[in-house]
Amino acid sequence: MCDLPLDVDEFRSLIGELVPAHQQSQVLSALELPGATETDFDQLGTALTGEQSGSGFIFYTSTGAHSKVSLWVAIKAEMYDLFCTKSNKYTAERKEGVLTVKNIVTIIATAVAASFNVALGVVTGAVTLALMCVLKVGRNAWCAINEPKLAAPN
Amino acid sequence: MLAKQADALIQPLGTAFLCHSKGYLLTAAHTINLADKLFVVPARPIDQFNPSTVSGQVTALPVMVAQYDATNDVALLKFVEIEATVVVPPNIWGDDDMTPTGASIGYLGFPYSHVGQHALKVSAGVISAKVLSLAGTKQFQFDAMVEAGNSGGPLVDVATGQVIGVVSGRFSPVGMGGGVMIGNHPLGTESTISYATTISYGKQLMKSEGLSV
Repeated sequence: MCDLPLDVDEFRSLIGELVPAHQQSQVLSALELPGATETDFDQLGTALTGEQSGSGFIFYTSTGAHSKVSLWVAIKAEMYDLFCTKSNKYTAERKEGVLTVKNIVTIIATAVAASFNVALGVVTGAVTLALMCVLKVGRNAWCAINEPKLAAPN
Repeated sequence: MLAKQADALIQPLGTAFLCHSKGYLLTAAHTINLADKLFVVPARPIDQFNPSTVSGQVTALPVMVAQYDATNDVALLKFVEIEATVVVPPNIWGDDDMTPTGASIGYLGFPYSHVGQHALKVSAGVISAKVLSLAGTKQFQFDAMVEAGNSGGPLVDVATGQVIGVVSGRFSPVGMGGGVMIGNHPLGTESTISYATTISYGKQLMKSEGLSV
């Protein structure tokens, strides 16, 4: 499959177009982060998906009964499926020249939103971050780092 | 009451309230996990005598997450699978800056709904301060103790009848807990210093959804 370069201007345009206004500054900050690692992206991603518990001395007063399933991990798993495997699910998308960052964000966000209980716009910010991470770290390195965590068992 | 599906059961998560006639509700973002299948159980008429605990079958209406702002702790939900047209009074939104410290407030919610308290509870207090969270979110601090299940409920300015915030949590002298638990209740987290995210963040989500506010 083709390796996409990290085009900052393309990402800026994408963020302005697809990411909800209240998430744009957080996603843009990742673009400007020098030497960002996957851990940095995990922090930002789980912040967008609400998976970071705790806020200083504020004790949240939900009942705490919500599940512990991670939407951020689900997004990364879709990225892994697309970039690191030859699965049938994304055969068409892997064809040379078909993929743009906008295509990828739309495709992955649609897949994740359909699997969960959310509108497309709820996940586009996190999906954009996850894609940015793959391209910043480099596809091969990212796949190698994530293989133990995200590869489907044989 | 906001709830999730757990097998064939409905499990309470917190509170949500109607915010737009096109079938939308607001809640606190932290009450939900985006992976959960969500429902709302409508409150019974508040001025009649209702069972304090509901058992057996309940009317649970499915909702989905339409907009989500974890940083400022607000989420916009939308009814699905049903055509919902609801009546939301005009001019219900207050202004973050116009509400003075010292103003009398009320808040509604379902505290302890996860352990069988299913009556919609009205509580009262005053705005004790206007503060910024660690993330910079504008919050109303009020002198009452919100309980597990209150999150996501509306904070109402008594003088105007307008919604000015979304209940989020309370100050905990021991942080998020992590100490002794009794019956799934973390000790030492109690205080009568509570917080609500100001309604401007909720209005922003409605605007992002293309709703007129």
